[in-house]
Amino acid sequence: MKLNAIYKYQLTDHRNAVLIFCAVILAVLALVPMQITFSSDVLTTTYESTQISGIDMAPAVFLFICGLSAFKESFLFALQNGISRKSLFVNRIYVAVTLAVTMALFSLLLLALGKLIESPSSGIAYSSLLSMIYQSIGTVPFSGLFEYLISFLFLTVLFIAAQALGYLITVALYRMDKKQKISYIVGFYIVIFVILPIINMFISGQISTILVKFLDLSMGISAQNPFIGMFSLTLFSIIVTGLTWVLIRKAVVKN
Amino acid sequence: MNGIEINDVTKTFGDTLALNQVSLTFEPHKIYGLLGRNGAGKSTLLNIITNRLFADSGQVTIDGLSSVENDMTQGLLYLMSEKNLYPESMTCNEAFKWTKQFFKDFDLDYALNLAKQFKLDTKKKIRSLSTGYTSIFKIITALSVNTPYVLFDEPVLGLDANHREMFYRLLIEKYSDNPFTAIISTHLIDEIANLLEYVMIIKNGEILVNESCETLLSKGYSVTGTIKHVDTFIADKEVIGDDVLGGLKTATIIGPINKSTLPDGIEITNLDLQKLFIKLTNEE
Repeated sequence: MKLNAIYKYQLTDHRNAVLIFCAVILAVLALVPMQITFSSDVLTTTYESTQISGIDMAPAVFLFICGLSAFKESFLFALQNGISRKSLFVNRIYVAVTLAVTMALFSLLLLALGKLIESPSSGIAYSSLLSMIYQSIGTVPFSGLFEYLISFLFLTVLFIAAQALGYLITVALYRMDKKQKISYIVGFYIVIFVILPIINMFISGQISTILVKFLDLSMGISAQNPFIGMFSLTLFSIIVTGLTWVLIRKAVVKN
Repeated sequence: MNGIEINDVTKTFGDTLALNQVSLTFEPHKIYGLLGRNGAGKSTLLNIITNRLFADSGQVTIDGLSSVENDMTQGLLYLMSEKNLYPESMTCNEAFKWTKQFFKDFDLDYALNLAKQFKLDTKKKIRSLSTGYTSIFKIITALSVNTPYVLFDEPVLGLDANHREMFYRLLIEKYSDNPFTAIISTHLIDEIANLLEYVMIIKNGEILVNESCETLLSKGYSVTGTIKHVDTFIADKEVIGDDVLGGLKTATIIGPINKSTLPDGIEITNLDLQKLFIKLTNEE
């Protein structure tokens, strides 16, 4: 009963945000054909296509933010109600999977709607995140049910990874004191936006080349294999979740 | 039932020793007073029992099972803490409903009834409650949760005299109807002295006193009379405190009463727990 309650509580915590997000994305998607329909220039721009692409990346960003805001309140509330850190953590994983599946299904709905409004005559071209990255799986092009199935799997894994990263960051920040927080945040920005670019410049862009190669290899982009990407994202999620557990298991109520 | 057993618990915060090899037992169905000066280690002890903090060493068991990271044993406890752990954007109604989800014996009707008695607007968000009403909200939850062990950490913080009186009355009523273990940590010793069955006094992270209230109070007595009479009477006794009001003096004495040597004009009353506490916990 208690475990069910902490799952429900954590899920309810995201309910309103998810509903608002979905409504906004649907409204944005609805605005595109409306704007074209009501535009006075519609006749002259009919064949100048409006590109809607990667809209299913928005849920990944949204779920990353959900992960970022998911720890402190739930942790304190769980302890107030006699829930152990382990139960909170395990149920957080269930919640992350539930949200990922829900948002992946929502993305499939977007894909279906995108396909519906996509046509040369309307001037709208819709491409999903997956088709943008991979175009095809080997020699099999993305289309029909196959595209939906692979998209669902890929997005679910991507969304779990996004939440896992957000959750790790928020738990790590919770465990730090004020000085550590400032040092880590400032240090992170300095390293990423100042030191690395400078070093990169001095070694003729080798760092960015390595990063791009790593991303290409780990996501299976050149190989045109989204399953490599799914495997890497799963591995990433497992590592990040493992690190999060290390931080949560000794987390305490702070004064 | 074994109650809450604390064995050799030590906790440090940096260089500060908050609890030093503390061992004690809270037995079922008794009301305990956990007393100590600020920073004595009371809240730390309660937070360790309820798995909010980890002890550096030692063990806490509840009914024989470890309290650390144990959903089952933690379900037997409820800590009404000074610090608010409820989401601030939650309304009192929502908090009651969620508490019901976590504690199956939580009496929602009773909670709403208490809210009416305390005039707590349950539609209000927790963040918008005053300090007093935040305490009231937590008191109501603690009294309605119906767990075998309820821990109160500074329960009357910010409460006016009427509400404090109401809390003590409700606690006794609840305890009479359905006995449970109540551990009350407070600074308002005078007010709760009559409620307590057992007294535990912590000083600098160590247990100084762990006795029944009756035994503790039998260790001394108070005398009241004219200044002259009282001064004469207490001349050869261990006095731990005195008050003078007008021509009357009250002195608190440690030691056995010898009623045969009691002069006329001197009235004897029970030992003042607060005076004893001050004497015992005085750093000098």
